Amino acid sequence: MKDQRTILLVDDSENDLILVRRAFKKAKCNSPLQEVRNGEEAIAYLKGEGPYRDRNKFPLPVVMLLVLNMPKGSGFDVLAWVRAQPMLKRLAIIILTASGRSEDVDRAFDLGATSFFVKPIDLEELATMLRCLCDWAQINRFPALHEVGGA
Amino acid sequence: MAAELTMSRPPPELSSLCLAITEHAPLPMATVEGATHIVRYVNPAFCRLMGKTIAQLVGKPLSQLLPEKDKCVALVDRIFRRGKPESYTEQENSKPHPVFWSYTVWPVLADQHLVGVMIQVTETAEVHGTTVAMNEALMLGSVRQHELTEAAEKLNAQLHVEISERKQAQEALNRAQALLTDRAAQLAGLVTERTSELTATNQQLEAFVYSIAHDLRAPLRAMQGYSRMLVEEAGAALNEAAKDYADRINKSAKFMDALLNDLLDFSRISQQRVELISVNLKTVVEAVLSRLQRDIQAKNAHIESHGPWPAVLAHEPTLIQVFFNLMSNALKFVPPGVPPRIHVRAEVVETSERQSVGASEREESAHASRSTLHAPRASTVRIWVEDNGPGIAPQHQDEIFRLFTRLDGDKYAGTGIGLAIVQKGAERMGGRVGVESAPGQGSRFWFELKSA
Repeated sequence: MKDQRTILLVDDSENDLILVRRAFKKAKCNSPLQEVRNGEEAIAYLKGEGPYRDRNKFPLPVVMLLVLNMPKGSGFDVLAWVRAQPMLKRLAIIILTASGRSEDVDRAFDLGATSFFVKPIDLEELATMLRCLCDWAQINRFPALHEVGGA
Repeated sequence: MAAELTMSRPPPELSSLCLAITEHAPLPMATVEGATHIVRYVNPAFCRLMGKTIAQLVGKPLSQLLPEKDKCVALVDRIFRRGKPESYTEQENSKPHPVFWSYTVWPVLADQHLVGVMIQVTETAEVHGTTVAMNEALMLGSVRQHELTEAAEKLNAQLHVEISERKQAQEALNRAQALLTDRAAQLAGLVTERTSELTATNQQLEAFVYSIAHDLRAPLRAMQGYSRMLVEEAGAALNEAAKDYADRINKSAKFMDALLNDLLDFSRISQQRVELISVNLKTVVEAVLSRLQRDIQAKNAHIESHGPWPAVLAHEPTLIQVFFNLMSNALKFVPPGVPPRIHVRAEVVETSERQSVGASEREESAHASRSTLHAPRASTVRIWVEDNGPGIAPQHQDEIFRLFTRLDGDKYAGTGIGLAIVQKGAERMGGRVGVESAPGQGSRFWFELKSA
């Protein structure tokens, strides 16, 4: 069951997607990874629309790793959209982006980010970071997404 | 009355008051003009004396009106020549009893130029001194009056000129003042405009630097990651040279990343708003040492940090950056295999010490010291970071604080930006930095901040 905790990668860079997958492998993290390439795709995935209709194939993630700078819907847009959805607002969203500009960090947390990671240049360091993330995912208690409290 | 209707053309020099006086004067009076002595004005008494009308007199040369060889003509000539009043008396014997003609003639001046001659003729039965004296007095009085009127008019005119000049000056002043006010407002507007433009440009620049850093790092990550993956995947098939190449790609990518990060730090420290508050130095030292913990352990470094830590006026993120860079340098710049030994301490530099500090600085600067600023301070705190590194020769001590200076680029990994950040950071907080060092003797870096 714990291995079925899907992680959704949202990143427009194919290089980075390959590196992140590699780093997950190095980190011996077995969570299933799903990936989309921009903000619009991320929202479609979370809504279960279009090509993502099949929830067996594209299950709702427990964690979304989100890049900020993307075409077609930035990470901030996705973040704001998710937090406005009664069905999804509790989703853990970790910003995994290229630069830790303090304004971006503040804005991400203001919009409800769960965590803010800056991609290290070194593949080993990225693996270490993702190892920590997986460990955290193992011990973290995730909220239910479908039930909206009180409604 | 008729006299008024038949009045001859009065000289313009005669004011209306004077005209009224001469018109009603019992004494015959006339004025002549020019070298040919054309009569221009005669009063009624003169007409009566000559027994002629105004029309018969005015416009005629004086010589035609008088008996032949009348001495008056010669007299008028003289007045014209000399410009001085004269009087003379002539006896006429043609009548049963002697009659005396007394002439008084004076120049008519306009703007100090002689324009005509005024003639006054008196007929008396006998000449006695009183008449002559009275005539002379009258004549002198007239001349004097004329002179006074002229002087008064001149003064008046001068006053007029001065008043109008003053008015003009005042107007010019008003205009200048209005212009100045206008200009000041324009300048203020321009400054506001420029400031907002600069602020916008600064923000654009900062955003630009960040997006550059962001976009440049993505391919760097790929270079680093793929070169590593290459070795991992195909390592067995690669010879040592090929592995070395892959390693060099890896290291270069990492170095460029460090460069980008340092440039970002430098840009941030140069541009961010810095507000100085009282900062606890101890907290800063502990924060930096904790951030460097991994490095300290890996290098088996020995760190000695002594209190007391006085409070300083600083911007905490900037202070942490400055101290971090100095500590990180001290850890980095040691010969291979030598464990870094670093001594961190702070001292209060009081005003009273200023003289001796200045003197020792001057003395040291001849050997092995530098400082970036020389402004005296009331009470400052100097933080020292002393290392057992290779030391810096005096001739390089200025250089090392400059951007992209790497004295031993081959031996030590550095971007050449760290100390530029230290200097910029200290300056942004109103402080200064310096180093005391000599080759082979380690370096003692310091920076000063105002004590809180």
